[in-house]
Amino acid sequence: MKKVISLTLILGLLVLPWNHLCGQDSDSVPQAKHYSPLGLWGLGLKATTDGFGVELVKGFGQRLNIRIGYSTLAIPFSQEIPLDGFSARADAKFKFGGANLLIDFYAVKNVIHITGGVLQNAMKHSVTITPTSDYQFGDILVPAADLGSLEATVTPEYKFSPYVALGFGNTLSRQHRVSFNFELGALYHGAPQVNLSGTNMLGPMASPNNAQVLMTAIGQYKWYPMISMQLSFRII
Amino acid sequence: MKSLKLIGAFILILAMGGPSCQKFNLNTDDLDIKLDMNIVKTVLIVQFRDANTSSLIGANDNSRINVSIIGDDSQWVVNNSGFHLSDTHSAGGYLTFGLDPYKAKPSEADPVRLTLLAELSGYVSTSVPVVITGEGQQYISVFMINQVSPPAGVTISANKNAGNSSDGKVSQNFKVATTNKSLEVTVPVGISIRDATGNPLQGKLDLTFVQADPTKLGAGRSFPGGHKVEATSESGSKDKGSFAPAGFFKIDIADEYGKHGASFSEGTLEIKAKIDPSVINPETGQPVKTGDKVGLWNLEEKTGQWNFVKNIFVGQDPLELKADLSSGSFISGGGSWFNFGWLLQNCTALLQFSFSSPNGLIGVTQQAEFDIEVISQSGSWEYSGHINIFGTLPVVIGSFAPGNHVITFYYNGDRQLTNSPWLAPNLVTRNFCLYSDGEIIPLVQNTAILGHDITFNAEIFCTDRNAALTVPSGTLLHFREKGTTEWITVTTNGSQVILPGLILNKTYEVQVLNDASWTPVPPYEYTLGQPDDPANPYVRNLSFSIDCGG
Repeated sequence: MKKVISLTLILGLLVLPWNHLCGQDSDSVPQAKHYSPLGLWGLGLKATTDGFGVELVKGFGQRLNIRIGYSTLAIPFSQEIPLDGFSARADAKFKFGGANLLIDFYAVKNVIHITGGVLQNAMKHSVTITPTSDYQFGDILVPAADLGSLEATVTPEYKFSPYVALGFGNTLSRQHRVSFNFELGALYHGAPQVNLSGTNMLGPMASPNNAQVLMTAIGQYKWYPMISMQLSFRII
Repeated sequence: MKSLKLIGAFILILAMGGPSCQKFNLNTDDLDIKLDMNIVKTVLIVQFRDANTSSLIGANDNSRINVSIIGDDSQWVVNNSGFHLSDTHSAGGYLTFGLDPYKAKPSEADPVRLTLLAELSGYVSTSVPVVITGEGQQYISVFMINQVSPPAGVTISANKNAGNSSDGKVSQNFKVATTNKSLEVTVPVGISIRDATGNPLQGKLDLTFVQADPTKLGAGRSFPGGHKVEATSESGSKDKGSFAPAGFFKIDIADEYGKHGASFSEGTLEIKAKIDPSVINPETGQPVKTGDKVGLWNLEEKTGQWNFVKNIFVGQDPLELKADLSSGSFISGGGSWFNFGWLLQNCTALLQFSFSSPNGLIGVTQQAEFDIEVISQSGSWEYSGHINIFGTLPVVIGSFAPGNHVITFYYNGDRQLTNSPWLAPNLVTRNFCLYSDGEIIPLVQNTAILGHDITFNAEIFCTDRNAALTVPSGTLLHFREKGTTEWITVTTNGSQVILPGLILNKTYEVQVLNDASWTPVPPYEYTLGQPDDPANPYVRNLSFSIDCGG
């Protein structure tokens, strides 16, 4: 019971600021108001753990929004790696994003909503290991350029991932031009798929066995946590 | 109620997202740490065979031929572990070595030149020039003359205390000859003979020579390096071609202190050699006769190049060649090869094969390795080598002079072809100047042999490096059924190797030639079981551990 109360308090704290920021008074939402089928359109800008993007929002009645959007994010990262006998550089690139089709259902008036939908998951993370120093093989000095490279790519198992979230705020305010939305959720992309490719000396490291070992190691990461903040502008 | 819905939804999200927070459980021991060691692009595979029996020297005993690799380009020679190699030895009649790919890139325009000096007690030491004109695998056969049982046509004459030298000069005339007088050398008084470092030979002089009649097969095999040569011609130009030898011989003069003569001056060395009357003069197409002109050539061992010395005219019956050498540098290390012969222009020797499987049997790969021997129109030996046949791809054997050549095929290590999965016609006659690749040579499946050709993805785990390596192209493996004695040697290609004729549930012993030793000892044992992948029953993995010497 204590835990339920604590959780309720936390949720309450989460809810209050959005309510305030959005300038929405839930009591002021006219319950009986009818909207034109062609009305309630908005545009949103969002920052999520799946990238930055835009959304087109269509509201239906008091409790339903449909969102179509697209987000993208690419984060490059490089790191020098000292290895046995030679050094190498790891060039990583984390790519997020994709298109989404989401439905928001406002279970608690116009503030808290449950969101479900599907994301076209363009997530692709890769790391390329490239030797940066020459390699001494006996008396032969093999130039770094000839040692080849090893690339590992991680992609989702499913290109279209179901998504579910709990949202606070509104993706399309019925009362104001501007609204703010915060979501906590997750998308299910299945067991991440690992693809290895290699060239020259490092080529054999890209073996099917190694790919399988890596896939087994990350196989449990089937859900990707999503945190999303969105600023929406109602057009009509 | 609304609060409960809210809490329920939140818990649902945590339940779904929770697994993504699980610990990353990578076990690095499960990862293959394997490197592709196809660093060396040029590999030489040398066979050492007895010129008389044609068998591999050391295949059935522990005889190891000491091999020195000399010449300006020898500094780029490396062993399997990439370390520079100059003095080494054979193992089971084989030696492999490579070139540093970043220091030596052989090409037609800039060939790599080496000389192999091979020495083994009981055999006549020999030198073999090697000219490498491109990357890849090159097979070399070195035939050595057993002093006790030399091949027909070879005469060895060892003359102890044949002469004397004091104050750096021969003190009196001396003449030595083979027992049948086929070769005679006269060393005059006053001639100065010095070793490679310029020091004069002193004291008692031993004169050893080997004379070979090229019309006899075993003798012809002793021709150093094969007939395809590069030579400095009479005009001074460097020409490529093939020798048609009328005779060849080796002279070695040594003093009692072990110094070997390398040059002489202040005198004239007289050499007389008899010619077999069946030798064909390629310039006339007729048996050689009195008055015919023949070149005398000397092998410069350090560069592997033959140098024109002088023209000689065939004398009266019995046909004799007489050469007076006024001065020169002619001997290196354990002796120097001379050749009376004609240098002819080459044609590229190309063969194309077809594999026919009369019973439609599966599990036999359309790939084969054969040793070959090329004999000239007049029956003299020209070349012994090794070819790898992949399907119907043309195989370049080398270059040979115009005229018919008879090619004999031998399966690896098996001169009788009993173990060969593919039977080539035993003899193929071909004039390479008339055919390009139009004539296809059939290879017929040997239905007498049981088993299948199994293609192995071969890897070696180097215990000293704690890493697995793919087996580089040009690596030699040999295998035999456990309990038998005869090894069959095969060559890897792109980390794959085909072991022919394997039978289900039989156990085979396998070794790899690494740094002049067949390893591991005892051999790795492999039992051919049911395939792991039924879709590819004739492709397997082969992996065993050795000390790579790295």
